[in-house]
Amino acid sequence: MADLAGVLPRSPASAAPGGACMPLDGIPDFDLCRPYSVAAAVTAASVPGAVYAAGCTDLIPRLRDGAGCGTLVSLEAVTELRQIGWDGSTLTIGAAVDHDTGAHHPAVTAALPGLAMAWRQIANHRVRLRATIGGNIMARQRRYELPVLLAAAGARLNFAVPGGQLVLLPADLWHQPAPPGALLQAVTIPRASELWLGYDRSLRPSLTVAVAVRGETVRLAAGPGNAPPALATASVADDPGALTTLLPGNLGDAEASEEYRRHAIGVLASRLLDSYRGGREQRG
Amino acid sequence: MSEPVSVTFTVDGRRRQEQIPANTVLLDLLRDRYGMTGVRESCGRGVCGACTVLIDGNPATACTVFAFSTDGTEIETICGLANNRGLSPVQRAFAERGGFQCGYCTPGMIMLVTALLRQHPDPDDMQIRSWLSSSLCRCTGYQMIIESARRAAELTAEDRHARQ
Repeated sequence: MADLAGVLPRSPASAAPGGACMPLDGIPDFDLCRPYSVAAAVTAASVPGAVYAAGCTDLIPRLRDGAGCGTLVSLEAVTELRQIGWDGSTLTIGAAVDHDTGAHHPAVTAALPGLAMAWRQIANHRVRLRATIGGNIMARQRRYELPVLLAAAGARLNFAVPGGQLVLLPADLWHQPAPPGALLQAVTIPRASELWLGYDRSLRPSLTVAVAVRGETVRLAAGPGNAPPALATASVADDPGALTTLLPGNLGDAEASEEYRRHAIGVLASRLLDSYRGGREQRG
Repeated sequence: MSEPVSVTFTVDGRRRQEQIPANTVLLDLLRDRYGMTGVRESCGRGVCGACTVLIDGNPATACTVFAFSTDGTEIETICGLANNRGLSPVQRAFAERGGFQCGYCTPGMIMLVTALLRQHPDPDDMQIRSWLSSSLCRCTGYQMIIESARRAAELTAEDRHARQ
């Protein structure tokens, strides 16, 4: 998990002490901090240029690309970030839970089987063993899939910040940087037991679609690949094709036109809703 | 320079203790300090899988692992797979079935299949394909590698029976 907000790539002259040039793919020297608690991690990361690190599958390539890092706050010893909880209503997933653990965890499977099924499909086996849910979210990569799933599911992102807590929606991250030192502590999905979640990634990387049904309301999240996930909410009785007209923004690019993407979203959403109406096999 | 970090781990059965800069990547430590050039360097971004090693039995790309984070772990590389009895069953299978052309991805593929067979001694094609999707080969079209993985399962089972 790496929050790189505020530590954008620096110029070569400032990338190394004394203006010396680093190797092209070198990783800058940094101070290492290895806290044992969330509070200590947030304190350690309150200095300018600090970066959180967990799985490092995204972080190291970014550092090679020139992202700055004065202090690296390793989260490997913060065990509370790897906990998963289910109280019968709210599903809580620690930010440093890796994909493989989360996707196969009994609590996730019991609370929201649709999430478990979808989570098992993302990335390759090697990456699933190491990369974390927090990293997937905080990387803010448009083709990453958990932001799409979590946006549809109505998830909350719980941050520890200096002096308190902060709760954001997944969509908020695309429009505002997290405050300095903010550490994504856990993802929570309220009322998960009332939720049905379906996911289709058959057109990835061009498009992914998640549909969440709670009562009579359906929430559609589409990951168009070229932009942050687009969201729309409507009645479950509405025509899925009409639902796509509610999606904001321009979904077209050189890879797929606006018209094609909206049509494809409608088709995939319709299939998912058929699954919901038919078998409800993914219901929690 | 920041404070050096002390790391103690086992690499291919040999216990090692190092003082390293915190920004040392495992791949550089293995290749540059230990001379383990069988661990291939390629994309440097954790995509291609050429530098795959096993950390506590799990496959990981050494190019996206900070060496400090391997403190206390057991690391296995392609350089330690063969022993005084010869090549490992997976290595033999790749040689027998021609699971390589240029050979650059081969060490990563072999480590991946080694980990696969420990978890799934008799993998089906779906499992083999799923696991192998973690590594890239630009020569073979994968069919020979898949056949090598199947053969590796047979040879591993034969070796196991022979030891019993």
